[in-house]
Amino acid sequence: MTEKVVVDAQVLFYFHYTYQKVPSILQELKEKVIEGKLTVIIPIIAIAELFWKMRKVGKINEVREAISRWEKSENIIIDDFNLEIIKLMLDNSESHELHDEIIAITCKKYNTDIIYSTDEKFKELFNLQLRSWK
Amino acid sequence: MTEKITQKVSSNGRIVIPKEWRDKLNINDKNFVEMELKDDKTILIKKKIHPLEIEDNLFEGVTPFTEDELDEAKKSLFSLKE
Repeated sequence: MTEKVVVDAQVLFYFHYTYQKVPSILQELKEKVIEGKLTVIIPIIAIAELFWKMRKVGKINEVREAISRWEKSENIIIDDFNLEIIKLMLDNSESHELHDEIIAITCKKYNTDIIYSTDEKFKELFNLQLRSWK
Repeated sequence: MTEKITQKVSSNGRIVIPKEWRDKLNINDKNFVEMELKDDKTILIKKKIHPLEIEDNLFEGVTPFTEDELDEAKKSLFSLKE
């Protein structure tokens, strides 16, 4: 079974950025995805953040193209924010920032604890394995 | 220009992609090929390209996310307490 990982908006950006400027841990991630060695889960909320940034600089068509490529990839799953996530959140009695919790719970939904992000909160609050490039 | 070769098929159906063609298409042992059987009895073999392999740097010219931008993006999704 291939390893599954969840990624945040920053990773989505680096997937389509000049390879030489991409942090080495994310270069390795991209290589593994291309070689089919792991499956990437993209929370829809991460796409929304990327879109927020790119729309400000007029790169709407580039985001459209990126989404189309993710959809065509056999080992990339775009996860819609749906009721299943909320049901899993019901197990959390503590209150968290919704954004972080939704992304963390996406890991739970796909039975993985690996997340590529620089946000330490994923490790500290949600006990996830943080694969950070900072 | 179309290049053509004739090859013997092995007992279990294997054929070899000539080295010259592999080099030209940058095909190595990490790659996959897609095979298509056409109605006219021809077989089309294509190097399988993962969509992330397309190196056109869609987001070139844009700076990577800053911490402030990440915070702003979050705020635009869910309002945070100041």
